[in-house]
Amino acid sequence: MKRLLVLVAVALFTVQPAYAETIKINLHSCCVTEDATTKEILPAFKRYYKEKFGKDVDVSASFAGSGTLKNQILGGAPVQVAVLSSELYLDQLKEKGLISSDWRKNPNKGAVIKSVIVFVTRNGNPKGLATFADLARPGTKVLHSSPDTSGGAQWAIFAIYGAGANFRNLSFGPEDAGVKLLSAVERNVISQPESARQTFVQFDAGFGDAIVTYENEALLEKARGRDYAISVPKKTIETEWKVARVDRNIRPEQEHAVGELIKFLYTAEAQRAYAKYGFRPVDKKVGKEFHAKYAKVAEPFTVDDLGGWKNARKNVIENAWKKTQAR
Amino acid sequence: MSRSLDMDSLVRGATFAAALGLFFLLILLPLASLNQYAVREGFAVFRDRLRSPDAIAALRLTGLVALAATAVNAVIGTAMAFLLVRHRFPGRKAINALVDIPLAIPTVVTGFALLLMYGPLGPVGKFLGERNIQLMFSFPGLLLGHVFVTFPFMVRAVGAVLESVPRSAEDAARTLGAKEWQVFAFVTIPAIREGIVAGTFLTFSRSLGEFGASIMVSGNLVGRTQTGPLYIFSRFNTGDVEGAAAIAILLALASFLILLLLQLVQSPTARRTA
Repeated sequence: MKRLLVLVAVALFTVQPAYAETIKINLHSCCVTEDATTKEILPAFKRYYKEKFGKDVDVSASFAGSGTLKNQILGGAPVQVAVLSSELYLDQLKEKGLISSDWRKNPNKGAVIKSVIVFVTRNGNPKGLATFADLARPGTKVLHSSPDTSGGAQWAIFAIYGAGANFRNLSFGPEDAGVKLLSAVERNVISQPESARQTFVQFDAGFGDAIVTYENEALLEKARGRDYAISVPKKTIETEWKVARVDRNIRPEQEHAVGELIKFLYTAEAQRAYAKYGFRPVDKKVGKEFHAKYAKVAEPFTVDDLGGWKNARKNVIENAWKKTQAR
Repeated sequence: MSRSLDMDSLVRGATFAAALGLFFLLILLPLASLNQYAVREGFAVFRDRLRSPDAIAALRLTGLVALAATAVNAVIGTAMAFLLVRHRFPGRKAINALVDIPLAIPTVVTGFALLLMYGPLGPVGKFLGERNIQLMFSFPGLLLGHVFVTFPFMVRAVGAVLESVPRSAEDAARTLGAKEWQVFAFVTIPAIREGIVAGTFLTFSRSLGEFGASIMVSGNLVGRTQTGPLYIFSRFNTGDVEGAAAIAILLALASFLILLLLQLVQSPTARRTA
């Protein structure tokens, strides 16, 4: 028995001997990108790098909510590339001196994938929930994750607010139609777990009539065989994930691979992989290939319509949403 | 001869220093750094964070849940300890091992299991739902989670004392004509008092820090069903490290005081039995 334990311990500590000439980099990427990244993009990048530059590259990836990843990087996690769901997190990394380059100079101002906020309902959508206003109907039970811990929830709250708001006249006060809709929907929210994933766990257990979440999460759940229905509201927000290099953690020998990895995320191959897992590609050509997969949003809006990330965070979440929580 | 004695004391001294040093490094230093963060922006900020209505609501809920969970486990945990120590029945060893399961499985799994059981799709949840009773995402759900997670403490604390208490006093009371309830209330309970005290204190302080099950079953609604640890996690994630550290310090301090009190309460009896 003792010998067995020792063997197990030794085995645990000696997994995968390192090869000296392999370049190692670490990628932190928002939770919902896990499957696309580990199953498709990283293996493809490894092949691509070996073929083109003749060197082995080993990318280890870690996935969690964007806020958690940001905190880990702030806490000293040796990460060279980050893909996060909120610009604010990248700004914070910049403020603390971890990022010194301008991530807005990457293509699409750093946006490497997109999605929209939709809602997931029970099979056949028995309550006929089609717009955000429908979620405000009395007796409707709504789930979304907590905007304090989940980037997706911040987008969800922006979506609800924006669906009601008049973009030419944003006051964020109690008379603002967006705030009215947000308060009405929030009254129906029964749970705000840590992450989008947990909302699905609770929904699976039978709680709630609708989850407000990313379209890619919803498509992924459907692909896993869940019999949910997806409602793409007529007016909803386009979300985006942005990539940045964490300059302070990049050693000279990693420099080249880091640059190539970021470039690779924009290639048709990587974009196709993202699209396969339910994200909306930023590459126009790949977008056309996957045209049929994504419902057209009649009135899409972006966080810029709400005054940009910084203002939207302050006005919609810290102010308007926070007030809806006090009862 | 004297050389080996020197070696002995050297070894003893080294062990002592190593244990204390490691304890300092592994346990105390992380706690100290928490303190440093809490007051980094000055004491006024620290006080301001503690005064936030959401923080107060979270702390209040944490205290209430911990009290309730302790009360529930004080009764059923003690009963379980009696069952396991005093009775011999088939499957006793298996049940004895199962008692510690809440310590071994991830608390998130506990939360998930409760959701499945009490959710509209689970048998119990269906039954309750038809009667319009919703336990999850409210205080009762939270309580169920905490009772589950803290269950072993009471059983183990009472069980350990119960093992060492001879039954002769109880037999004597019976011989003297005491009724069963009198034996229990006036002989048995005082004899295992120490175990009950230790169990309740441990249960309470573990409950103060409960996170994994809470985040699944509470609904995490700010100001309503968000407990202290969930509040800390939220604050930390929004980048308000000072707010997170302020409440964390308070919970850590509360736990420390409870455990210190336990030491003080226990030491006289411990000395007496020695």
